[in-house]
Amino acid sequence: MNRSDVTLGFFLTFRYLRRSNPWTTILITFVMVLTFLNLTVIGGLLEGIVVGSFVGLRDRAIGDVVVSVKSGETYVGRSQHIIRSLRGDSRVASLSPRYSTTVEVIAEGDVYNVTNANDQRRSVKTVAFGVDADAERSTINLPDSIIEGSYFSGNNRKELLIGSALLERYSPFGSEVLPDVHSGDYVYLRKISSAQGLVSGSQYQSVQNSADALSSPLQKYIVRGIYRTKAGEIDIALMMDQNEVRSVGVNPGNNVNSIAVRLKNPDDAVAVRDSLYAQGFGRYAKIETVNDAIGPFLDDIRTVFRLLGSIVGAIGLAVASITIFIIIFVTAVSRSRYIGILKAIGITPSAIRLSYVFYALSFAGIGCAIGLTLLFGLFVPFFEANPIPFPFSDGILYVTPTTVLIQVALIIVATAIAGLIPAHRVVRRPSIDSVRGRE
Amino acid sequence: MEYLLQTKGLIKTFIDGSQETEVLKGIDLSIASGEFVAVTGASGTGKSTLLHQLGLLDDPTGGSVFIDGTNASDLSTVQRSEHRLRRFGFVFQDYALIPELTAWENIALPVLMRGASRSLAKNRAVRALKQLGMEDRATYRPSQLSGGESQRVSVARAIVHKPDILFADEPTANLDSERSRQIIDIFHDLHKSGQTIVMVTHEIEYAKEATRLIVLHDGRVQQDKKLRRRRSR
Repeated sequence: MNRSDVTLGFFLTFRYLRRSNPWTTILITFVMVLTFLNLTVIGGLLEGIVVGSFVGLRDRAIGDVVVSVKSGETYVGRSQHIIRSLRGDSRVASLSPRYSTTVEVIAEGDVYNVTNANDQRRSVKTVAFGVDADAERSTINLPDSIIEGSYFSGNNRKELLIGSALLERYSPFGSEVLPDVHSGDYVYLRKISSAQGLVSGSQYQSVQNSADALSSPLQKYIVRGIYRTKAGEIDIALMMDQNEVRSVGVNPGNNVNSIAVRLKNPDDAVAVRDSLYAQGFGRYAKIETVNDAIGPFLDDIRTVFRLLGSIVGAIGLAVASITIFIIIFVTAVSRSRYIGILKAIGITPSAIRLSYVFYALSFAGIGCAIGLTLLFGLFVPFFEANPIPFPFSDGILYVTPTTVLIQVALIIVATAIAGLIPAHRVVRRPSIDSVRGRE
Repeated sequence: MEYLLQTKGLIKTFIDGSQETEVLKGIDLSIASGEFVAVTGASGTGKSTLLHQLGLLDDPTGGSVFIDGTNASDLSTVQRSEHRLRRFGFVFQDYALIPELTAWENIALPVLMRGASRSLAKNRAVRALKQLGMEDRATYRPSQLSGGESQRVSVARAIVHKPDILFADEPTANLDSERSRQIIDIFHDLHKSGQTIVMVTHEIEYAKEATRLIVLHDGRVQQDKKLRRRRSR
């Protein structure tokens, strides 16, 4: 094969295309567009479910770096030192120290039903996070996750935000949830570990009766808002003002239970983590990047989803390759006499083969170009604006230039092979047979 | 004397199932540069088969074809293809134009295959068309051309790369007498300018206008004689 073969191959291909039946061209191109989208979108959506979880966890739960309690400890030691260090780090955009304690939550209307310590049908045990409203806003942008009511503002005493997964109508779990609670309603909290509780409201006396039965007072809070982050444990927790949680006596010495850290550049996460370790804070706390915190779980799911996407894509690719094979074979066979004539006048078999390979590739090329335009011009922006609402994440269409390039290369290679094989079979026939129209 | 083309004991047998048909039964020929050879004979005497052997389009069953003294059997497929591209030109009975290509594009194929640029190939194709009085049909596709025009395009394609030998297989068979005359006149003009031509025809009046007449009968050369040029325009 030489330069003339390539030049003539292109020359013939261009003419075949220009003068072929437009409907046939459109149909084949459409098949290639669908193949491309099948390969990229299906896999991208499956992977996007996992990536959505990851992004949700990072952006709406723990930030880029998270400092948490070491195993066997009850709080992050030397919390204020760590916080000071992070605040002095120019790579840190914001951070949100969190206090937490385990509480029992009872919906207002169900306080009556809790008649003894064993009757907890209508109560939920969960974690209450005590946060600084502004810090939480700038670190995980919690206000964006409010689906009912509103975020904290001003004096937040006796107010709380409740995770949607704790509520019957939002929970994907179907049990261990609160019944009909809305923003503006009251709930009652009891700190479990110390058997301290909180209750008030119009049913105070009755609640007191119930609380008495539980040997613990309840405190009443108003539900200011309901949030849904779809990010792990955050949605099965409460958010309260940090002073509320601290007032029930958690953690001596202002030690927090966790610190969510948002970085200016997420790529600095490892460096920031290592910097904290280098300062010796590893002795007092578990310091992790979001990737460390997720562990291999999401990666494993991602691998499985990627495999599923690849299988679906491979089937589509095989179908498209067979389609191209048939089209090129039929085209070449029906033109075998002209192929013989081309060979007779000295056109090399390589040039003729290339013309059919280029013919097939042009469909792949046009199909991929249209597919790329649809992918990045329509589908990616669409799924970014309208994520698929899975229970545990907002599924996006996750595609990277590298994976798309690989997928385009796969289509190109498969199409080239699918075009080459039939062209080769027809071209290798003796030219005189083709010229004479002999089979 | 160095011959451009020679055959020695050329045999071609076609096998169809269990039936063998010997079409050429030992042909010895020598064609020199500048000759205008007409090969004629009754139907089924092997005229076209001989032309295909001479033009390296098919392999002989026995005997040999020599080109400038080189045995064609010693040539690889690529070398045979090179010969057809660079040294031979072919005109077929049914024009054999590629339907998707315009007249100039059909003619430009051998030029492009030889590595010329598109613009050079187009220039040469248009010049060839002009030589045959067809320049106004350059952008016409075969379906838009008459039989005579198609055959002239076919001739233009065959001569555009200035081949050593022009092979024509029944070039007038599908044309009326007026168009046939035009084609034969073109061949005369080409021959006058030094072109070697080997033409297969069953039309004896055109065959007699060549400078040499070979008559085949039952796969053998029955008659091979030089003719005095006798043209009628």
